[in-house]
Formats: sequence, C-alpha cells, structure tokens
Amino acid sequence: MGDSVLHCWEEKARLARAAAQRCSYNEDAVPSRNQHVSYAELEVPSLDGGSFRARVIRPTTPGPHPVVLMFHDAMRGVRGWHHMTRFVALDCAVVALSNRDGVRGVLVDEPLAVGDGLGIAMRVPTCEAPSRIGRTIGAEAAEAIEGTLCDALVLAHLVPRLMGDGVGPMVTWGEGLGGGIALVVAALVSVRAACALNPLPSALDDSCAMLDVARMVRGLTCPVLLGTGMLDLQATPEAQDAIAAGIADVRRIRYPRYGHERINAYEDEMLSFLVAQLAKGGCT
Amino acid sequence: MTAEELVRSDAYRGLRPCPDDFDAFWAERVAEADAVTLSSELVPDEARSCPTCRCLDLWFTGMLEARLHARVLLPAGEGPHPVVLQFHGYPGATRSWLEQASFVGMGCAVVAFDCPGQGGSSQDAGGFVGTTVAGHIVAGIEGPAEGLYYVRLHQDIRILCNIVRTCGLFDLARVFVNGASQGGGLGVACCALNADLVSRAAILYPFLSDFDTVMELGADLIAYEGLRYQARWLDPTGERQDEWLGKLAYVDSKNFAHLVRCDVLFGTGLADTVCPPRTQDAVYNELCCPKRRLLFEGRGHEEIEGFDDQLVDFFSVCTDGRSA
Repeated sequence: MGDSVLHCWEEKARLARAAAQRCSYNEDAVPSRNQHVSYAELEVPSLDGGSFRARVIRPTTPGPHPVVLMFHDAMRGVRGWHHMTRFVALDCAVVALSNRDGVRGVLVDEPLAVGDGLGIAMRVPTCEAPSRIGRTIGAEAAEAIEGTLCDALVLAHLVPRLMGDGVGPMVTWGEGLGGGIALVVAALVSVRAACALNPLPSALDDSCAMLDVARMVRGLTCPVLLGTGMLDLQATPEAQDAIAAGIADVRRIRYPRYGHERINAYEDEMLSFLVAQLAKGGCT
Repeated sequence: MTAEELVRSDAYRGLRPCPDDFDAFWAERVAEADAVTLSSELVPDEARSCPTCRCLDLWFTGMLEARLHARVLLPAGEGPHPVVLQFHGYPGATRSWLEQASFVGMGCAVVAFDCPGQGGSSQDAGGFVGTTVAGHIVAGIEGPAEGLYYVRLHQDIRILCNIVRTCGLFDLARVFVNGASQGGGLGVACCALNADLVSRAAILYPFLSDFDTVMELGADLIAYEGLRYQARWLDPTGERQDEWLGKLAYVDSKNFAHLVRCDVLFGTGLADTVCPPRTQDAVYNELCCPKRRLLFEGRGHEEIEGFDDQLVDFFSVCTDGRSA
C-alpha cells in the first residue's frame, strides 16, 4: 500500500512539473517602500482546473538566491509579509502557498480540554484549536488537502521560472499541515533540505492512505529538521514518530512542554540548520 | 468595545491623574541610570550567523550591577545601520533569532532586550520590598516607588539606549522601537525617556496602563494578576489601595505618553481581554506626538499580522523621507 501511494504521488509530481513548465500565471507586485525586499501575489492554474494563490518575496540584491518554499497550517491563512521577510535576512527568497478552503476539516469535531497546569500568570495557549485529528479524514477535507498538495507540487516546480537566473537551492518549511506538505514536497521534488514542526496528517486508516504523510515520505533523503511538541493533541507525537521513521537523514527535536504552537527554541535551531545547509555548495 | 465606541471615547485619559512630580521623578531616575558606567561586550553566535545576517549576544551591566542580555542582529554592510529596539511580552523573553531576522530582511539591525527575571538571560538583581510571588507588576510595591521592578527595568533600558548611542554600530537618526503588550508599555516608556534617540515607534496593545480601570473592569487576571494578588493577600479591605496604585502611577504607560516625541503607530485588538482596550485608550489619547491608530475588530491579545505588516513601510522611511 505504501509503495502504491508513493508511486501515485510521484506521477502527480510529474504532471505538476509539466504543468508548471507551460502554465501562464499572474504575478502582481505589492507596493512597498522598502528597498531591500520586493513583495508580490501570485495566481497559478491548478492541476484540476481553477487556480491557487501564493505569495512571493524576493531580496533586491543580485542573485542567485536560495528559495524557502513555505506552507501553512490548517487552522490559519498564509503567513504575513513581515513574518516571512525573516528569510530575506538569510538572502533567501520566499514562495508561500495559500491552502485551499476546506483543509480545516482535517480536524474532527471532538474538542478536548486543554489544561496547561500552570498558574494564571504563566498561562499561554498551547493549542489554537483543541480539536484533534482522527484516523480518517472527511471527504471535503480530503479533497482540499489532496488539491493543496498538488498545488504545492506545481508551485515547487514553478520556482525556477519565478526566480529566473536568480534561483539557488530550495528548502521547504511548514508547521502542522504545512509541515506535512513541506515533507511531501521534499520527498517528490529536488530540494536542499526541509524543516517541519508538528507535521500532519499521519497514522491514518488505510482508507485515507493517499493523504498519510508517513506513507508519502518514505525514502526522503534530504536533511530534515523535525520538531515535535510532545503535548500536541493534533499532530500527536506517535503520529509524528511514523513520519520520522521514513526519513533517512532526520534530526528530531522533542519539546516536552509544548503543544501545537510556535516554538521559539525550534526556530532558533531552524536558523542554525538553514545557515549550515545553505552554506553547502551546489544547486540542490 | 466597537470601533464606534472607541472613537467616541477619544477624550478618555484614564481614571487616576498623572502624579504631579512624575517628570521630576523620572528625571532623577534617568540621572541615576546615566551615572552607571557603561560596560558591555558583544559575543558573536557563529552557528546562527551568515554573511547577510550576523547574530550576536550583547551582555551589559545594568542597575545594581545586574548582568543583562540582549540579542543583536546586524544586516550586511559596515553600517551604521538603522536599528529596531525590540521589547517582548510578559512573562516571556526575546522571541527567536529567526523571528527577529524579519527586521534584518528589511535592512535594519535589531537589539532585542531580555527583561530581567523573566524567560530570557537577563539577571534580576532582586531585593524588591514586598511580595515577589505575584509577578513583576507589584514587585517592590511595599517600598518607595523608585524601588519598583518596572522603575528599575526602565532604567536598565535607559542604560541599553546609552550603549546604542555610543557603540558606533547604529544610525542614530533611525532608531526605532517595536513592542507588543509588555513590550508596548516598555516601548512607550523608552520613547519617553529617550526622546532624543527614538524616531519611530510601533506599539501594539500596551500593557501596564490605567491600573485603576483594570481593577474596575475585573481585568486583574492573567497579565495583571499581580494586582489581584496584592489586593487579596496584602490589602484585603482595600484601605491601602490608593497608596499602592498611587505608586504604580509612576510606571503607568499613559503617564509616560506626554513625553513621547516620535511618530507612533499604535494598534489595538478590540476583543482584547488581557489588556482592555479602554486602558489602551488612555495611553493613545495622552500621546501628543504624530500618531496613527489601527483598530482590529474581533482580534484579541494575539499575533495580529495586519499590524506587523504595517511595520515594513513604517520602519522604511528615513528622516528625510527617503526609503530606508
């Protein structure tokens, strides 16, 4: 089952590559006073008709520039311009996909009580939404996630056209559902490295095998930095274990008292990881 | 509060008047901080640095010989660089190096200060009179006002600003301040006490303001929980409330506001239950500098990307109006 899932997605990746090479996309500049960075919105035809949107950020210095291909979580939209400008500090361009509507349905309607066990003064949210991932995914959400994955593959293959002669190595990065997408893209497209925090979905029933990240990343060979909040109720540690098991070169960091949330310490590790990976020579 | 209600309340200045001797009080505190001999070192973090973004740890001596820490990020080039003084929320620490790097991507250096005794590396020299279990807002409340935690913290920030002034790394015509929640309150005070230095400030849902209103609204929970603890354990009948709230008036963000001279971009989430919008009204309305306020319907005490995205342009203007 695992091999057939991977083979199916490899075929989709081939279709995505062909589509990216010939598609007509729209790019609209977003006005900014800052002379160090340029911002733009993309609209790109998707494989199944319609279109998807993405954000592009480029350093204004001469290239080539490495590219960070970013994916966001199910419960939120694409990250803000200021947030993503962090990668320009590393001389990277950023290409950030906007998920399809309906991916939020990956969470089942079983709200769980989230007690942080801390005093009032120390209370910080551990989960944006307490609902958890079930072992199956509803039809609408499944369709949206599959579509988003296809969009991600088209976008990844579009990067050389977007950057032109200024394209350097590519890394993928995402949190939650975005982390899962980042790993899948890294498994199917030639990238320098991948970063994922609390990736999902995985550990699904066979009926949802096509969306199980653990099945799709078997044989992923690029270096991966994988962070796990051990209190995560959505991307459970056990489900993340299944993902990590299929990755040959993975550095796994566990955060015992963190859940499904941004983790400053992980971002610090990510900076060191990216600096080291991008310092290597070559185009991939 | 709806946007309409907020507009109608633009005359609101807070429940407790500014102490008559506020300016004189802080002139003395600034002089005490300025008397501290500057002592600092910059230690590069090679593992996180690359040619376009250098990461360094700044260690310096603060009030009472405390060893204080800030993260410094420098963009490519020799400088001097425009710089963002970054202040964090309570009770946290400077956020990740990668998060701070957004300003480097914009062409700015960053100096991100760890508040003493909170989640970062700055040392808290302690010695506060009164309860210390209820958090920093009431630390020192049983002693004179000059012994409050936040008085000492503002003095430490003054020392940090003196280092910024003298180190030669930064363009002193483009020193910016950014902070949310506690960082917003610290930012207002920093601008007030260093009016000669700061040219622009972005302040998001400032903490430490209009304490009497916090008590009236029952918002002395979460970030302001120290007020409730002080009241319940150390002043159960409330007969001393005027006394200790009177001391906190010396660290009330709204009382610093009239000293701010720089351009201010101010943000409020109208669903904020941690720092009630009304308490923020008092701060904003007391500002008599060039200012602009953004209101975010339905947003609370949370990351507000619509505000953060404003920083790209807000901090990208030189003093002569050219892009940075």
